[in-house]
Amino acid sequence: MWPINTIVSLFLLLSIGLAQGRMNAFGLGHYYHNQGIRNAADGITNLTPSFQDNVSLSNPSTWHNLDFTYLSLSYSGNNNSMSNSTLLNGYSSLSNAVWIVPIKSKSSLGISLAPYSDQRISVTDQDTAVFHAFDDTLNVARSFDRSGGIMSFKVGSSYLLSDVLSLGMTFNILFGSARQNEVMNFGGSAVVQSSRMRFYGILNEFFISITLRDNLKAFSSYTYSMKPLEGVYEEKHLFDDANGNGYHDFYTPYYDFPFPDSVSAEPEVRLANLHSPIGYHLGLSQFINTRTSIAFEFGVINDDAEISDRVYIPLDNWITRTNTAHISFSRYPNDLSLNLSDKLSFKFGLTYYNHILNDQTSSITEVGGSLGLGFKFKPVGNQIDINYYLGFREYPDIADAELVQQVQVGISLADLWFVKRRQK
Amino acid sequence: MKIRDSILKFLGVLIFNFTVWHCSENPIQSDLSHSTIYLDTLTIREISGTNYWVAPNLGSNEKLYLGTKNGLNVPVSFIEIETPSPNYWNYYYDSTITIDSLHFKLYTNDSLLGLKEVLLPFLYFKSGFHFDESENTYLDFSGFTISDWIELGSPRIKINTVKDTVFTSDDSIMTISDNYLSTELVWDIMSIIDNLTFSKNNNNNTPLISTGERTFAIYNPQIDYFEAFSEEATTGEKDPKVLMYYRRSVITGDSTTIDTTSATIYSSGDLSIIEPNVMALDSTKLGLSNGMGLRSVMNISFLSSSLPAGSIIRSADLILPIDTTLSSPSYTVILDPIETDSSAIDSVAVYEKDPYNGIGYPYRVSSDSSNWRSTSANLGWGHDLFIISIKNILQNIALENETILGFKVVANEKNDPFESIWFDLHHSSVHPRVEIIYVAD
Repeated sequence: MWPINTIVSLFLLLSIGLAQGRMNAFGLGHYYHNQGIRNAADGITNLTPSFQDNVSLSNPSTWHNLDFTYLSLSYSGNNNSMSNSTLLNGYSSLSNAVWIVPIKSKSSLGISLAPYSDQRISVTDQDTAVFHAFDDTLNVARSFDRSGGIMSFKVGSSYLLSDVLSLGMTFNILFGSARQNEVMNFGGSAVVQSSRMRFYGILNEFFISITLRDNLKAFSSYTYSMKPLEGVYEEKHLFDDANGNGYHDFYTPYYDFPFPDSVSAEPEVRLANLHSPIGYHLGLSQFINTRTSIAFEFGVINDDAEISDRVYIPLDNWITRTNTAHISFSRYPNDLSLNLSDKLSFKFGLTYYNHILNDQTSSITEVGGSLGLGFKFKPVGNQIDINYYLGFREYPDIADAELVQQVQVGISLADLWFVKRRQK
Repeated sequence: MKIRDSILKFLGVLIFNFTVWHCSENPIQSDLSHSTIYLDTLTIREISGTNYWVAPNLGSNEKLYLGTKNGLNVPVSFIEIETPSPNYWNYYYDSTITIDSLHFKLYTNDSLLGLKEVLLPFLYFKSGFHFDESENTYLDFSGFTISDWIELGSPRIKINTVKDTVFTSDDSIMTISDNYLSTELVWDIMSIIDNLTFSKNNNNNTPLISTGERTFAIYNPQIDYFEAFSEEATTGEKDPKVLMYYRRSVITGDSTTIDTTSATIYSSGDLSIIEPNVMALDSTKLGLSNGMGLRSVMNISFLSSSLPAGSIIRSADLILPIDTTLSSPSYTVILDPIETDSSAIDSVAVYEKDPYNGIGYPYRVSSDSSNWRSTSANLGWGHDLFIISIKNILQNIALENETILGFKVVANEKNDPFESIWFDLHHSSVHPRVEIIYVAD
């Protein structure tokens, strides 16, 4: 058995690689809920059950239907490429970790940790500008680098009001930081404008599950910003990155100009309302037979953000409204069968995204499909899931379409927790 | 334990999967013209300056001079000989040592010195005469007379060469040519050995540890022009020096061994006294000359508000037109921001000490002719624009880290003291200016 520390180190190492998609260059980065599948257990849907026949890990109003306490971890690998160029970016990271404790099948409590926004981006200017300075002609190339992102820590709960109605809610704390470098390269070295931003915000989500008929259920969620995301912005002094390492430092062979200790950063500025989502989702799940269901979901999320001019947005635009539609087909395992094939679950789904941009005249559209397979094992219902997502994304400013591929691998471990054992 | 084992197995699977997963990063391309940082230029033309005089000191110059050149006169040069360790001077009192000869040597690179009919410098000696090579100027020797010095006459000339040789076919060495190395001026100073080996306050015959005040002077009011290497020029090879040849008798049992050898005693300081010949100057020109003691102070109209807040200077070149008809084509100039100014307090025609105190490192900058440029209408020898970067001090003024009282402009101490450089602040077509390229947010 490998030492746990070694495994964790390798795991982190694999997750650190810089990567990006074009979506990362809009606004505060790429929101994870706009990229393929949220987690391996739920597949492409968020409200309607697909983890189990009556449970969605993303929908707290279904959590009390779990028979055991679950710890579910998902890891995703993403690949973004442009169809008509050699541009290729890949990255992997933990996509979701959720721990849910059902309480007497009447209520539940859960916490989750997941990335919310990926701000990693590296953009170079498509043109080199020419600047005439005295007797010199300077070729000026701009670029922009940003790293970091926003994490989401959720505390959720559900309560079964009646046989047909259950409620759920999550208290979603957003936090994170980003570091960005705006670079102007000319005359053999780069002038860099560095800045830092720390994020904090609270979102609330309310969920309702209604059993319309024995085989037909309706789900809905409402999202609003209890405390719109705000950022504490700190702008560093411009510096000439003589040693080319991207940091304002003394390292040889050339010292950056001016000396780091001769300048100070601007006072921190609090930037409010950087991200303020408000919207709803509706879902309908229809069982075809005891182990097979189809589901429809659609939703609208508006972002009432007012991003300050101080925040440099590489593509000078951000998403203000997202319309989504999902359709999925799920086949669940048979818990009572000993047949190996009956322990497999199957998920297939199609999705459509339409992101309206801030200029209100252009949008990003994405169509995609996912295919998932799960394997349930042990009497408590441990489950391994693997999902593949393939999507095509079209941007308003380029003719090229982006090919999005995602693989999600997850494991969900179940156990009886908080049960009093009889003493022998 | 089961959960932990399951997790570890799961992680193992993940690691395998994501190790084979292709990870890469290609920058995307887009229009970044909305960037908040921008490039701009600023030209400062409000530049003024004045000349001032400081009594010239050539103590750190690599040459010793005598005579007149370009209107500047050097009447005398002093050389102080050190008290070495071991103190060879005390050999005079050692009964086992016999001093055979004592020579004073100067070196010059004038290969024709021994061949032409020229006047040579006379050597003089005076014990107890003290000078400070880094402080003393002509002002300290206004009543100087050579009459109370011991005259040691004119030198013997010796040309040092190195032979260029090759091996012939029969393995013998053949000399192709003699390559000139230097010219030695050698004075026999054995006659003053008593004066050299006694210190100034020694009234009995007991040898003392010398205070080092063994001072020679080269002097000849009739000489046209002469220069030799000073102690700053080399690390001993061509320094002024005294060469002592002696014999040491070593008695071992019944036998006595006599060892003939030599000792070199180097100069510990030297100084040419130059008279600056103060004259009226053209106020439209700024001049620099080590020999004249001519310096300049310059004001550039640059404030912290001259650039947008938060700007960074990529380059800031001070450009001054050079009057090529008066200036040396090879000259190194130093600019030092002024920290304190006592010129109003000590207002005199020629300052004994420089009244402008520069900040020095890291703002002191220098520029030599390799950095100069040509105007399209260049005059004389081509490069007629003096260029020096002053971006570090301007950046720190912009950052409000420094406030200065102008710039002190001086000639580098290694420049030929008889040469000068002149900047034309009122040139008909080329204006003095500072060209700044900066980036702002």
